[in-house]
Amino acid sequence: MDDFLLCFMPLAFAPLAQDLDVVLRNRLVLTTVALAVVIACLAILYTYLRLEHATRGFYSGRLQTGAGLLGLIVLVVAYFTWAAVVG
Amino acid sequence: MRFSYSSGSRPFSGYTIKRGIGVGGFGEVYFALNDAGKEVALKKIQKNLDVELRGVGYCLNLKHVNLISLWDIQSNQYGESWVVMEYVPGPSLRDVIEDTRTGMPTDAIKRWFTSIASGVAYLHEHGIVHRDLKPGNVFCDQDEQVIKIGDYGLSKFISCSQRSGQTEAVGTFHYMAPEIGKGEYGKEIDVYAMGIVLYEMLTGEVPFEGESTQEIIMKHLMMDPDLSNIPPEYHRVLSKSLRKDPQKRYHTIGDMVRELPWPEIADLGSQIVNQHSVGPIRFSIPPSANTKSTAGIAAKSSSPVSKPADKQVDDSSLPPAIASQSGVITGVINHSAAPTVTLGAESIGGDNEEPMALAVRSGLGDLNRWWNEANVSAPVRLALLVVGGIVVVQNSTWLLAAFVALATIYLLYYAARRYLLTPAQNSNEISKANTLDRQRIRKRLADRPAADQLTELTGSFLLGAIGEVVLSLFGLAIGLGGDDGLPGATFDDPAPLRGWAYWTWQTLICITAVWAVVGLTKTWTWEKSDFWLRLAMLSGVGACIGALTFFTATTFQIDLAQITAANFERTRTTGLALNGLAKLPALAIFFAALFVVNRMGRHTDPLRRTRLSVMNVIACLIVAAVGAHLLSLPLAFVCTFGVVVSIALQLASPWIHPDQRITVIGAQRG
Repeated sequence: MDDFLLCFMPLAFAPLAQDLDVVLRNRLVLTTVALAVVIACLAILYTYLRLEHATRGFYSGRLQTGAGLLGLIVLVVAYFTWAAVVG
Repeated sequence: MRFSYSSGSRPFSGYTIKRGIGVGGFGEVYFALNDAGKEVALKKIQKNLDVELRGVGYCLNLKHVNLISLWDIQSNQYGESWVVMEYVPGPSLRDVIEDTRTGMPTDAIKRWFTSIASGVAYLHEHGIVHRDLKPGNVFCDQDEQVIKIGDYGLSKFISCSQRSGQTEAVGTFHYMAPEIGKGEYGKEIDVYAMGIVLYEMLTGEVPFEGESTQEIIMKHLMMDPDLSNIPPEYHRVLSKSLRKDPQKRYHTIGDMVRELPWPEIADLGSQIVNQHSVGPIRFSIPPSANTKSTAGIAAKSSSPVSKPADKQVDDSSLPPAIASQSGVITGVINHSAAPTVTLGAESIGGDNEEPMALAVRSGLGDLNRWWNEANVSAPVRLALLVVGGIVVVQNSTWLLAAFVALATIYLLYYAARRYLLTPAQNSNEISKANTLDRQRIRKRLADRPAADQLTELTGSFLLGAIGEVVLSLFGLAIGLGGDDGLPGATFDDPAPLRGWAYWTWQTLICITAVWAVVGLTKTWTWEKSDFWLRLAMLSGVGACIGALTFFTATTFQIDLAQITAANFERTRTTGLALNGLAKLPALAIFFAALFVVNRMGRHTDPLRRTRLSVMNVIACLIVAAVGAHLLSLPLAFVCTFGVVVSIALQLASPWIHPDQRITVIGAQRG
């Protein structure tokens, strides 16, 4: 069975014991990656707000662009990490 | 805001620009480093070059603790002239006024105003009129804790441009004396500006506001300031300093200072001019008192002192938090005559300090001092540490037992002393005063800009999440709970996936709880009202966390029945946990009770007594353990949850040191 499907499949439908382990493993990977993404995004947002305050808005545009790019990079890296581990 | 030079540029030899700081009527200001690494501010003079350079030239050799030092004038190959000056890291008076909004606390006003007065008096003594005195030109050097005035050499052009209505900063009109329109630039225009600044520090607003520059100028020319919301003791000094006719104003800063309603400063009078070298204010702490509060500034020295090191009070006697708040110039802040009520903190005077804790703290302090000051080489210190560590480890069993026994006895003693033996003297007055002050502080916290609050909240979320992850990784690494039947909580377990699942599940629950409580209590600014509403909200959040625990356990294949039975080695039946299974209602009730009984809102209160209260953590542990027994819940899980969430909440939530509550937040008004 496809690992991706197993990740989101209710446990009751997992027919074999080893499938249960696969489901759990995939869920843990997904949870860990999601948690890492959330923490990274929080760190980016916090850093942006602090820098915005420290520079008194002189570099708002650059800071917003940088924060957005960083957020995008985090998402891309998280996706490929998850795909590599689960896939 | 656009700057001519970007970070990394070298406008002239020896200096590298790091970033732009601001743009004024005279030109751009940059933060830069010289080749040796010294931080400086560079001003690029763009307009009225000759006039400005002449003004700066006059000021190059001025030395005063309350004036930003001008160091050099440089030119580059493009014909640009630059002023190299002291870089002052810290907020301007404008920032402080905007933060406090409804007026600054009296002691902060004293600090700022006397510092400005000293600097301006020094300028006047040297025949220089500042001409552009305003809160945006006064800065607090947070490194040295000194307040400094800037732009004194560059102000002539600004004033001229304002007069012609071409200035970029309309706000500057708020501080312009009426006679500037006639081209009169005497000392009295600085007196007038200081009157405006004093008014603004007291109320948070300038006396003459308007929709246009013309309206503001007309009010300066025609209207008297509204003093109805000013404390009466300031009426005289404000009325006289804001007279339209400069001849009717104070002719010197000393005259103005003499009529301030602060006797300890007013006594200085014209001698404030001579106070320029005294350096930062030092706080004297009466040796017998543990209480701190504001009092006046008592000038003890009228003679100029060459450097700040010649202070009158030994720094070692100062608590760091107090010393770090020291202000500027005029002498010594004397606390000896102060009232004993301390803002926000639960201090109830030195007499009520718990003597055993005081003795232990004092002993540890002495030990620490001895260790730091002992003339012992590093290898010997290391050897002593190793031997001490071995002795402690080898005797850990009985040491731990003795510690637990002593701690238990002390807790009982402390509780008895706290609730039974503490005299009720003045407690009502103190309680009332603290409550009022705390309400003011909370109001000021709530009035902060939304961006600041969002930054604080984001920081709390981030710190809480990182703390939870670290604690959970620690638990996973040491195999905590492995012996208690947790599934695979050790690395040796044949199914380490289960251990990973368990700690991931616990981390998720804890992070959610921390975020929920921090987010919920962030908006709590009231002191006593809506007590029951707050409890209801906390219990609701707790119930939701319980439900989340139940459902996510299924998601991560956590068998609650198994780990519960392993904890208690029995199958217990209660009404809410049939056959030992931790059911949804049991979890919901448990978490709701945990949040309410321990009043989790207090964990996040910025005015709590200490940043991390061990008592709060122990209380959470006890409630969790009792709840686990009563409701047949997984003991290890709920106890870990209680401890971890309590610690993470307290560490992640903002906390204001009690000593800073007066001066930083400004709860106490004169």
